Amino acid sequence: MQQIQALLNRPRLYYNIDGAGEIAIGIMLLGFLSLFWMQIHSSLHSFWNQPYGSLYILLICLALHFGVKAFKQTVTYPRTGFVRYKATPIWYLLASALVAAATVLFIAAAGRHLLNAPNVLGVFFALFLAVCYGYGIARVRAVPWKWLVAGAIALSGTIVALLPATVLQPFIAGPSVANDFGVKLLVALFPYFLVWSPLFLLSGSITLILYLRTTHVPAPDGQ
Amino acid sequence: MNSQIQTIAELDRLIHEPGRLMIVTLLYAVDQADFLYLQHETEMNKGTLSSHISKLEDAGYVEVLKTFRGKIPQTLLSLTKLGRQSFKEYRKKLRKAL
Repeated sequence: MQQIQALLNRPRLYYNIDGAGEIAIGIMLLGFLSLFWMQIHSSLHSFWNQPYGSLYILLICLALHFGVKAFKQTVTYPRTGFVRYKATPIWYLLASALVAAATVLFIAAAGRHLLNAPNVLGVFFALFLAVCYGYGIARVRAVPWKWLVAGAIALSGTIVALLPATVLQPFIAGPSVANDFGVKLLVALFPYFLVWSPLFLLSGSITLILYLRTTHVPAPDGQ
Repeated sequence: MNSQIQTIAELDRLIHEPGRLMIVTLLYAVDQADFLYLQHETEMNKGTLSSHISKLEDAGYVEVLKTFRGKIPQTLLSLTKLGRQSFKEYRKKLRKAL
Protein backbone atom coordinates (compact mmCIF):
# COMPACT_ATOMS: atom_id res chain seq x y z
CA MET A 1 0.00 0.00 0.00
CA GLN A 2 2.87 2.36 0.78
CA GLN A 3 4.34 1.87 -2.68
CA ILE A 4 0.96 2.67 -4.23
CA GLN A 5 0.72 5.82 -2.12
CA ALA A 6 4.27 6.78 -3.17
CA LEU A 7 3.29 6.32 -6.82
CA LEU A 8 0.17 8.44 -6.32
CA ASN A 9 2.44 11.23 -5.04
CA ARG A 10 4.83 11.03 -8.01
CA PRO A 11 2.98 13.56 -10.21
CA ARG A 12 3.27 16.18 -7.44
CA LEU A 13 7.03 15.66 -7.39
CA TYR A 14 7.07 15.84 -11.18
CA TYR A 15 5.90 19.45 -11.10
CA ASN A 16 9.27 20.55 -9.72
CA ILE A 17 11.39 17.87 -11.41
CA ASP A 18 13.05 20.61 -13.47
CA GLY A 19 13.36 23.12 -10.61
CA ALA A 20 11.05 25.54 -12.44
CA GLY A 21 8.73 25.85 -9.42
CA GLU A 22 11.51 26.93 -7.08
CA ILE A 23 13.11 29.23 -9.63
CA ALA A 24 9.69 30.88 -10.10
CA ILE A 25 9.39 31.39 -6.32
CA GLY A 26 12.91 32.88 -6.25
CA ILE A 27 12.05 35.29 -9.07
CA MET A 28 8.78 36.17 -7.34
CA LEU A 29 10.68 37.01 -4.14
CA LEU A 30 13.11 39.13 -6.21
CA GLY A 31 10.07 40.91 -7.66
CA PHE A 32 8.78 41.64 -4.17
CA LEU A 33 12.28 42.75 -3.14
CA SER A 34 12.50 45.25 -5.99
CA LEU A 35 9.00 46.55 -5.18
CA PHE A 36 9.88 46.88 -1.49
CA TRP A 37 13.10 48.67 -2.43
CA MET A 38 11.22 51.17 -4.57
CA GLN A 39 8.54 51.64 -1.90
CA ILE A 40 11.11 52.24 0.81
CA HIS A 41 13.29 54.56 -1.25
CA SER A 42 10.60 56.71 -2.84
CA SER A 43 8.20 59.19 -1.30
CA LEU A 44 4.84 58.10 0.11
CA HIS A 45 3.06 59.83 -2.80
CA SER A 46 5.05 58.17 -5.56
CA PHE A 47 3.66 55.52 -7.95
CA TRP A 48 5.29 52.72 -5.94
CA ASN A 49 3.49 53.60 -2.73
CA GLN A 50 0.04 53.76 -4.32
CA PRO A 51 -2.29 50.73 -4.27
CA TYR A 52 -1.92 50.39 -8.06
CA GLY A 53 1.86 50.12 -7.60
CA SER A 54 1.17 46.46 -6.81
CA LEU A 55 0.23 45.96 -10.48
CA TYR A 56 3.97 45.50 -10.89
CA ILE A 57 3.69 42.23 -8.91
CA LEU A 58 0.68 41.20 -10.97
CA LEU A 59 2.77 41.64 -14.12
CA ILE A 60 5.55 39.52 -12.63
CA CYS A 61 3.01 36.81 -11.69
CA LEU A 62 1.64 36.79 -15.25
CA ALA A 63 5.14 36.66 -16.74
CA LEU A 64 6.05 33.78 -14.43
CA HIS A 65 2.85 31.88 -15.18
CA PHE A 66 3.37 32.00 -18.93
CA GLY A 67 7.15 31.69 -18.61
CA VAL A 68 6.95 28.45 -16.62
CA LYS A 69 4.35 27.12 -19.06
CA ALA A 70 6.57 27.87 -22.05
CA PHE A 71 9.61 26.38 -20.30
CA LYS A 72 7.76 23.14 -19.57
CA GLN A 73 6.53 22.89 -23.15
CA THR A 74 9.95 23.42 -24.69
CA VAL A 75 12.23 21.70 -22.15
CA THR A 76 10.40 19.37 -19.77
CA TYR A 77 7.64 17.75 -21.80
CA PRO A 78 9.89 16.71 -24.73
CA ARG A 79 12.33 15.11 -22.27
CA THR A 80 10.26 13.38 -19.62
CA GLY A 81 6.70 13.70 -20.80
CA PHE A 82 3.55 15.74 -20.48
CA VAL A 83 1.19 15.69 -17.52
CA ARG A 84 -2.11 17.49 -17.08
CA TYR A 85 -3.05 17.67 -13.44
CA LYS A 86 -6.54 17.13 -12.08
CA ALA A 87 -8.61 20.28 -11.62
CA THR A 88 -8.52 21.42 -8.00
CA PRO A 89 -11.95 20.95 -6.33
CA ILE A 90 -13.78 24.20 -5.48
CA TRP A 91 -14.08 23.30 -1.78
CA TYR A 92 -10.28 22.94 -1.65
CA LEU A 93 -9.78 26.35 -3.30
CA LEU A 94 -12.27 27.95 -0.87
CA ALA A 95 -10.62 26.29 2.14
CA SER A 96 -7.17 27.41 0.93
CA ALA A 97 -8.44 30.97 0.42
CA LEU A 98 -9.88 30.98 3.96
CA VAL A 99 -6.61 29.68 5.46
CA ALA A 100 -4.59 32.23 3.45
CA ALA A 101 -6.90 35.09 4.54
CA ALA A 102 -6.69 33.96 8.19
CA THR A 103 -2.88 33.79 7.93
CA VAL A 104 -2.65 37.28 6.40
CA LEU A 105 -4.95 38.70 9.09
CA PHE A 106 -2.94 36.96 11.80
CA ILE A 107 0.39 38.22 10.41
CA ALA A 108 -1.01 41.76 10.07
CA ALA A 109 -2.36 41.67 13.64
CA ALA A 110 0.79 40.09 15.02
CA GLY A 111 2.87 42.52 12.98
CA ARG A 112 1.25 45.54 14.62
CA HIS A 113 1.91 44.15 18.09
CA LEU A 114 5.29 42.64 17.43
CA LEU A 115 6.78 45.40 15.29
CA ASN A 116 8.50 46.56 18.45
CA ALA A 117 9.84 43.03 18.95
CA PRO A 118 10.77 42.13 15.35
CA ASN A 119 13.16 39.38 16.46
CA VAL A 120 10.30 37.22 17.76
CA LEU A 121 8.21 37.84 14.66
CA GLY A 122 11.22 37.17 12.41
CA VAL A 123 12.06 33.82 14.01
CA PHE A 124 8.38 32.84 13.83
CA PHE A 125 8.24 33.89 10.16
CA ALA A 126 11.43 31.93 9.29
CA LEU A 127 10.25 28.79 11.06
CA PHE A 128 6.81 29.06 9.48
CA LEU A 129 8.29 29.20 5.95
CA ALA A 130 10.74 26.37 6.72
CA VAL A 131 7.90 24.18 8.04
CA CYS A 132 5.76 24.92 4.94
CA TYR A 133 8.69 24.07 2.65
CA GLY A 134 9.46 20.92 4.71
CA TYR A 135 5.83 19.85 4.51
CA GLY A 136 5.95 20.27 0.74
CA ILE A 137 9.09 18.17 0.27
CA ALA A 138 7.90 15.50 2.71
CA ARG A 139 4.57 15.24 0.89
CA VAL A 140 6.17 14.61 -2.50
CA ARG A 141 9.13 12.66 -1.05
CA ALA A 142 11.60 14.97 -2.76
CA VAL A 143 15.34 14.27 -2.91
CA PRO A 144 16.94 14.26 0.58
CA TRP A 145 19.20 17.29 -0.01
CA LYS A 146 16.08 19.48 -0.19
CA TRP A 147 15.96 19.14 3.61
CA LEU A 148 19.18 21.16 3.66
CA VAL A 149 17.29 23.95 1.88
CA ALA A 150 14.53 23.78 4.53
CA GLY A 151 17.22 24.00 7.23
CA ALA A 152 18.92 26.90 5.42
CA ILE A 153 15.61 28.79 5.23
CA ALA A 154 15.08 28.41 8.99
CA LEU A 155 18.70 29.18 9.86
CA SER A 156 19.16 32.20 7.58
CA GLY A 157 15.81 33.66 8.67
CA THR A 158 16.70 33.21 12.35
CA ILE A 159 20.12 34.83 11.82
CA VAL A 160 18.51 37.81 10.06
CA ALA A 161 15.96 38.09 12.90
CA LEU A 162 18.71 38.19 15.50
CA LEU A 163 20.96 40.68 13.65
CA PRO A 164 21.24 44.08 15.32
CA ALA A 165 19.07 46.67 13.56
CA THR A 166 22.13 48.83 12.82
CA VAL A 167 23.55 46.18 10.45
CA LEU A 168 20.56 46.38 8.13
CA GLN A 169 19.94 50.11 8.48
CA PRO A 170 21.89 51.22 5.37
CA PHE A 171 19.81 48.91 3.13
CA ILE A 172 16.42 49.89 4.44
CA ALA A 173 16.67 53.56 5.27
CA GLY A 174 14.48 55.72 3.02
CA PRO A 175 12.40 58.87 2.95
CA SER A 176 9.07 57.13 3.57
CA VAL A 177 10.18 54.77 6.34
CA ALA A 178 9.62 57.03 9.36
CA ASN A 179 5.88 56.87 10.04
CA ASP A 180 3.94 54.69 7.67
CA PHE A 181 3.04 51.27 9.13
CA GLY A 182 2.91 49.54 5.73
CA VAL A 183 6.40 50.69 4.81
CA LYS A 184 7.67 49.75 8.28
CA LEU A 185 6.37 46.24 7.66
CA LEU A 186 8.15 46.14 4.27
CA VAL A 187 11.36 47.21 5.98
CA ALA A 188 10.94 44.30 8.40
CA LEU A 189 10.33 41.80 5.57
CA PHE A 190 13.03 43.09 3.22
CA PRO A 191 16.09 41.29 4.72
CA TYR A 192 14.26 37.94 4.83
CA PHE A 193 13.35 38.11 1.16
CA LEU A 194 16.93 39.18 0.47
CA VAL A 195 18.32 35.91 1.89
CA TRP A 196 15.52 33.60 0.77
CA SER A 197 15.30 34.56 -2.90
CA PRO A 198 18.90 33.39 -3.65
CA LEU A 199 18.19 30.19 -1.68
CA PHE A 200 15.19 29.30 -3.83
CA LEU A 201 17.03 30.31 -7.01
CA LEU A 202 20.05 28.19 -6.04
CA SER A 203 17.98 25.15 -5.08
CA GLY A 204 15.91 25.41 -8.27
CA SER A 205 19.01 25.91 -10.44
CA ILE A 206 20.76 22.85 -8.97
CA THR A 207 17.62 20.80 -9.63
CA LEU A 208 17.46 22.15 -13.18
CA ILE A 209 21.14 21.40 -13.91
CA LEU A 210 20.80 17.85 -12.54
CA TYR A 211 17.63 17.38 -14.57
CA LEU A 212 19.24 18.58 -17.81
CA ARG A 213 22.28 16.36 -17.21
CA THR A 214 20.30 13.21 -16.53
CA THR A 215 17.54 13.48 -19.14
CA HIS A 216 17.58 13.68 -22.92
CA VAL A 217 15.03 14.24 -25.63
CA PRO A 218 14.27 10.80 -27.14
CA ALA A 219 14.43 10.13 -30.87
CA PRO A 220 11.38 11.45 -32.81
CA ASP A 221 9.91 7.96 -33.22
CA GLY A 222 9.91 7.65 -29.42
CA GLN A 223 6.16 7.67 -29.01
CA MET B 1 -12.87 -19.90 2.82
CA ASN B 2 -11.39 -17.28 5.16
CA SER B 3 -12.84 -13.85 4.21
CA GLN B 4 -9.36 -12.29 3.93
CA ILE B 5 -8.24 -14.97 1.49
CA GLN B 6 -11.55 -14.56 -0.35
CA THR B 7 -10.75 -10.83 -0.73
CA ILE B 8 -7.35 -11.62 -2.23
CA ALA B 9 -9.01 -13.95 -4.73
CA GLU B 10 -11.38 -11.16 -5.72
CA LEU B 11 -8.61 -8.67 -6.58
CA ASP B 12 -8.83 -7.37 -10.14
CA ARG B 13 -6.12 -9.40 -11.90
CA LEU B 14 -5.85 -6.96 -14.77
CA ILE B 15 -4.80 -4.19 -12.39
CA HIS B 16 -2.90 -6.47 -10.00
CA GLU B 17 -0.06 -7.16 -12.45
CA PRO B 18 2.83 -4.91 -11.23
CA GLY B 19 3.43 -3.12 -14.55
CA ARG B 20 -0.25 -2.32 -15.08
CA LEU B 21 -0.66 -1.38 -11.42
CA MET B 22 2.06 1.27 -11.88
CA ILE B 23 0.36 2.63 -15.01
CA VAL B 24 -3.12 2.76 -13.48
CA THR B 25 -1.82 4.32 -10.23
CA LEU B 26 0.08 7.04 -12.09
CA LEU B 27 -2.88 7.80 -14.33
CA TYR B 28 -5.25 7.85 -11.34
CA ALA B 29 -3.23 10.70 -9.82
CA VAL B 30 -3.47 12.91 -12.92
CA ASP B 31 -6.06 14.00 -15.42
CA GLN B 32 -3.98 13.08 -18.47
CA ALA B 33 -0.41 12.04 -19.20
CA ASP B 34 1.51 11.05 -22.30
CA PHE B 35 3.34 7.84 -23.16
CA LEU B 36 6.74 9.43 -22.54
CA TYR B 37 5.78 10.39 -18.99
CA LEU B 38 4.67 6.84 -18.19
CA GLN B 39 7.83 5.46 -19.75
CA HIS B 40 9.95 7.83 -17.66
CA GLU B 41 8.15 7.04 -14.42
CA THR B 42 7.79 3.29 -14.82
CA GLU B 43 11.18 2.75 -16.54
CA MET B 44 9.56 0.14 -18.81
CA ASN B 45 10.63 -0.24 -22.42
CA LYS B 46 8.29 0.92 -25.19
CA GLY B 47 7.15 -2.57 -26.16
CA THR B 48 6.23 -3.69 -22.65
CA LEU B 49 4.49 -0.40 -21.89
CA SER B 50 2.52 -0.54 -25.16
CA SER B 51 1.44 -4.10 -24.45
CA HIS B 52 0.17 -3.20 -20.95
CA ILE B 53 -1.63 -0.12 -22.25
CA SER B 54 -3.32 -2.18 -24.98
CA LYS B 55 -4.65 -4.62 -22.38
CA LEU B 56 -5.95 -1.78 -20.23
CA GLU B 57 -7.49 -0.12 -23.28
CA ASP B 58 -9.21 -3.36 -24.33
CA ALA B 59 -10.69 -3.67 -20.85
CA GLY B 60 -12.02 -0.10 -21.12
CA TYR B 61 -9.85 1.16 -18.23
CA VAL B 62 -7.69 3.52 -20.28
CA GLU B 63 -8.52 5.95 -23.05
CA VAL B 64 -5.81 6.49 -25.67
CA LEU B 65 -5.68 9.60 -27.81
CA LYS B 66 -3.15 9.89 -30.64
CA THR B 67 -2.22 13.47 -31.42
CA PHE B 68 0.74 15.67 -32.38
CA ARG B 69 2.95 18.04 -30.40
CA GLY B 70 4.16 20.24 -33.25
CA LYS B 71 5.38 17.67 -35.77
CA ILE B 72 6.09 14.97 -33.20
CA PRO B 73 3.44 12.31 -32.56
CA GLN B 74 2.14 12.21 -29.02
CA THR B 75 0.07 9.52 -27.29
CA LEU B 76 -2.14 10.91 -24.54
CA LEU B 77 -3.57 8.58 -21.94
CA SER B 78 -6.21 8.94 -19.27
CA LEU B 79 -8.23 6.64 -17.04
CA THR B 80 -11.86 6.15 -17.97
CA LYS B 81 -14.64 6.27 -15.35
CA LEU B 82 -14.57 2.49 -15.27
CA GLY B 83 -10.80 2.54 -14.81
CA ARG B 84 -11.03 4.98 -11.89
CA GLN B 85 -13.82 2.98 -10.26
CA SER B 86 -11.91 -0.28 -10.69
CA PHE B 87 -8.74 1.17 -9.18
CA LYS B 88 -10.69 2.53 -6.19
CA GLU B 89 -12.27 -0.89 -5.72
CA TYR B 90 -8.88 -2.58 -6.07
CA ARG B 91 -7.32 -0.38 -3.38
CA LYS B 92 -10.23 -0.98 -1.04
CA LYS B 93 -9.94 -4.76 -1.44
CA LEU B 94 -6.16 -4.72 -1.13
CA ARG B 95 -6.38 -2.70 2.09
CA LYS B 96 -8.92 -5.19 3.43
CA ALA B 97 -6.74 -8.13 2.47
CA LEU B 98 -3.54 -6.78 4.09
